[in-house]
Amino acid sequence: MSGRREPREGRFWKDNSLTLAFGGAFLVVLAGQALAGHAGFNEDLAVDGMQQLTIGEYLMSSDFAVDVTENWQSEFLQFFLYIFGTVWLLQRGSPESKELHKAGPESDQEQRVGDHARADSPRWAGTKDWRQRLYSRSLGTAMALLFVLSWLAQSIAGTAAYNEQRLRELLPPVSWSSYLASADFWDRSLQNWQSELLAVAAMAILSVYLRQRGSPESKPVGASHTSTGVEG
Amino acid sequence: MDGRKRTFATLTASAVVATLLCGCGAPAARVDGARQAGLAFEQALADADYARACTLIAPQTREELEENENKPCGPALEGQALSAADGVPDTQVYGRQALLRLPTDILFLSQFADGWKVTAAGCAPQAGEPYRCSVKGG
Repeated sequence: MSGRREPREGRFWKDNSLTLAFGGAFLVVLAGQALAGHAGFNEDLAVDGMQQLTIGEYLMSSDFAVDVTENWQSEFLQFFLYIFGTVWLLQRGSPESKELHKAGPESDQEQRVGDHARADSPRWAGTKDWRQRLYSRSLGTAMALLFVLSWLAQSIAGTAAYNEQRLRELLPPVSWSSYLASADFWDRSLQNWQSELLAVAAMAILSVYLRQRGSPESKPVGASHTSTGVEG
Repeated sequence: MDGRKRTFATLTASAVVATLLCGCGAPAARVDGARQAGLAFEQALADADYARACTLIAPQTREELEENENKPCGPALEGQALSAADGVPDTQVYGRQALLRLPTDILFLSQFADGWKVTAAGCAPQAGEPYRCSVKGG
């Protein structure tokens, strides 16, 4: 590529600040969720006259696991849908969309695969077999896989947490397959999905008219509202 | 960057798998603990040793029983005319709660610091509703 080269020497923390900051914040917030969830769960146990849990016991409980995984699955679903959806779906004027004439998987030349791969292209991009096809969809596939695993984890932890609650109420436990058809499972899933879809729709349309100076998620402040696929 | 993406994906997948494995099933020791406590309760009933049976009842259930009968736990429990059951119970454990189905009795148990305790006994199923139990907490 012509143009300016990325600075090659940089400090580790600065070079990876985006991942590190969000990864660190994730751990802090997860710890906060654990503390709040522990207190709430123990309040419920106290009302029912049951033994309260230590924080360590709560971290190993199905109640904590289902609360964590129900949010994880929706986040991975959001990114999976967004990555695959933006191959074909467009939003005029949005930096989240590609240019309007580029809908679809694009040509090999535009994607720099096969004979069009360059010296610095990832190795599998330069192949012409299943490796290129797999690598060409690896980001979306990884998100899809993480979504499926997280949703499966939610369903299993959810069955255990739901049954523990049912036993406290002198109700018989249900099977995993029955839980998949339960209101609890779908309430937990759909309440997360709707919020993720709202956030994506809001980002796609608000970024047409609003700007965030210096953010690659926004167009340049002076870019017109109609320019599409331009990142600042 | 590809390596880092792979590392991130691997770590996240590991966390998901770890979550799958933790806290969701009931280890054999917990199932066995619930079963032994239930059988000990039934044995105490069979021996007509109500004082011993009362030590195996959860605190709130015991308080409820004593309040309802206006008697100490032992005589109050004797008055319930619970039928003692034996045999290997069908045991289902989720977290710290358990359900034991014996040939002639159904028990609910909960795990406390000093072991499993009976939270409800003499239970019978009712379609679509909680089990109806002779002895239960509030």
